[in-house]
Amino acid sequence: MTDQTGPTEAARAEEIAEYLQAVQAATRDLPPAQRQELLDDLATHLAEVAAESSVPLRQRLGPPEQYAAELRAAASGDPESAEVRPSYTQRLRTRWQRLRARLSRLDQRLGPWLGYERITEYARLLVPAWWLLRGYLAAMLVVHLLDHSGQLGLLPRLGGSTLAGLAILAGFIVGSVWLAHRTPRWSRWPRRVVMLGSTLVVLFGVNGFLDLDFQQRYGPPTFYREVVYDNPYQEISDVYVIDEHGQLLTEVTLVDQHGRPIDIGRCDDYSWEEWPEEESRWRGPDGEPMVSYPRCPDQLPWWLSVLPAPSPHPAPSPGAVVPSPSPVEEPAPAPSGDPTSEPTATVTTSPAPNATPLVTPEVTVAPTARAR
Amino acid sequence: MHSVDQTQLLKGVLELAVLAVLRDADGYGYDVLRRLRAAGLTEVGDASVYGTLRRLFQAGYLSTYVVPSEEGPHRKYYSLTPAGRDQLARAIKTWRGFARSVEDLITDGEVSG
Repeated sequence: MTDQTGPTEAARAEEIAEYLQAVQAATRDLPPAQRQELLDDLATHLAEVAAESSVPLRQRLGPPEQYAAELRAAASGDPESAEVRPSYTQRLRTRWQRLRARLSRLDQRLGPWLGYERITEYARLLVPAWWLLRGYLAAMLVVHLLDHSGQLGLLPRLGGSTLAGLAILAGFIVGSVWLAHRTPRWSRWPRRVVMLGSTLVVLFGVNGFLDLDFQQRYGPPTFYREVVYDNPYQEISDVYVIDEHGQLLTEVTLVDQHGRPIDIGRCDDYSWEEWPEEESRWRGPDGEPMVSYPRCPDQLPWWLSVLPAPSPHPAPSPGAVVPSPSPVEEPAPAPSGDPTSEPTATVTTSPAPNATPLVTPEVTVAPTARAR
Repeated sequence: MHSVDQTQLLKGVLELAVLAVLRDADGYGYDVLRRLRAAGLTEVGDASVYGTLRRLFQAGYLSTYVVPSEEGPHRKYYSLTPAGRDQLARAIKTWRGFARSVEDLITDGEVSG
């Protein structure tokens, strides 16, 4: 860099390499054998030329694309092909080569960070690992296409057989390594096919990887999760609370063992607009309106509608038809209740009297319940 | 226009010229170029010479050997093979006939025109 008499040895070597690379790029369409023959000695020759004078190669030999065209014409013995057309693609190619040169310098500059001369030098060490990965991914892809029995795992399985899957895996890995050694000798199109195939395999791999990652985080996709159908309360549309005298208690609120209001049942015949007393309903400690039962006083079962009117000192009511197997809830003592008004309530549910009665563990009938 | 003309003519005779240069003494690529230019073929291009050398080598008219040098890169020398000497003889014959015809044509034109 401090050399004022001319470019340093290393800079010269880089200049030669860059020029050579550009010429190589401009002859990429030639059959490999012919190209190889043509460029075999070019490095030596360019070094000879460079040794003659310190004037830059581009200045002495012209642009590498033109050099390549002339070279090809002379080597093929066909003077017509020497016509140099700096076409649009040619200029694109030149720009691409400049970009490559810049990347190459970056490559060299960043290499020491990894402890290598170039990043690509390190990357080259990983190439055999890529061959293995490609074989593995290709095996996974093929197995996936052949076998629809299940989801994609991490090991290839064919028809549920891991052994068959592993045999395929071994075959593909060997094939991938074999391919890696063969491809460079092939002509353009077969190599392109290999490259396209590898790209597809990589895309498949990335997709599968993201899939597995997602499942690790969030579990299997929801549409695979089984819906629980055994909720015994889902048929319930209303709840009636009956005291020990067969009296229907109205405006009763049910809370569970945590003091949370139990909200079950829907009054199908009421639309939400008609749902009446949102404001008039009493509110819980968090200000939420509590649900009071029965929700649909208009739709009482027939045997409840015939109950006698409430009386302050209730007498046994012969009309109350409470299904005998229905468990009787012992309500928790009300914290501030008048002992006389503390009812023994029976909770029944509306579906039908013949239905198995609702068992709600630890249901507390709140002290707001009062006899009708 | 002059340069274009010589470039056009060179395309046809470069093979002959390169073989002729190497008949006297073996040479490496840049050396061949310099000798061609020294002989008056100033428009000859490096790539053309190198490409021609590769083609003649490929055809079996030239053989190569590498000479290590103390300063600078190793040099690949080209020398004529027996087949190359035959090819040169044929090319010279063709060129002489061709040159004579063209010369006659030119001279005739000058005389009659």
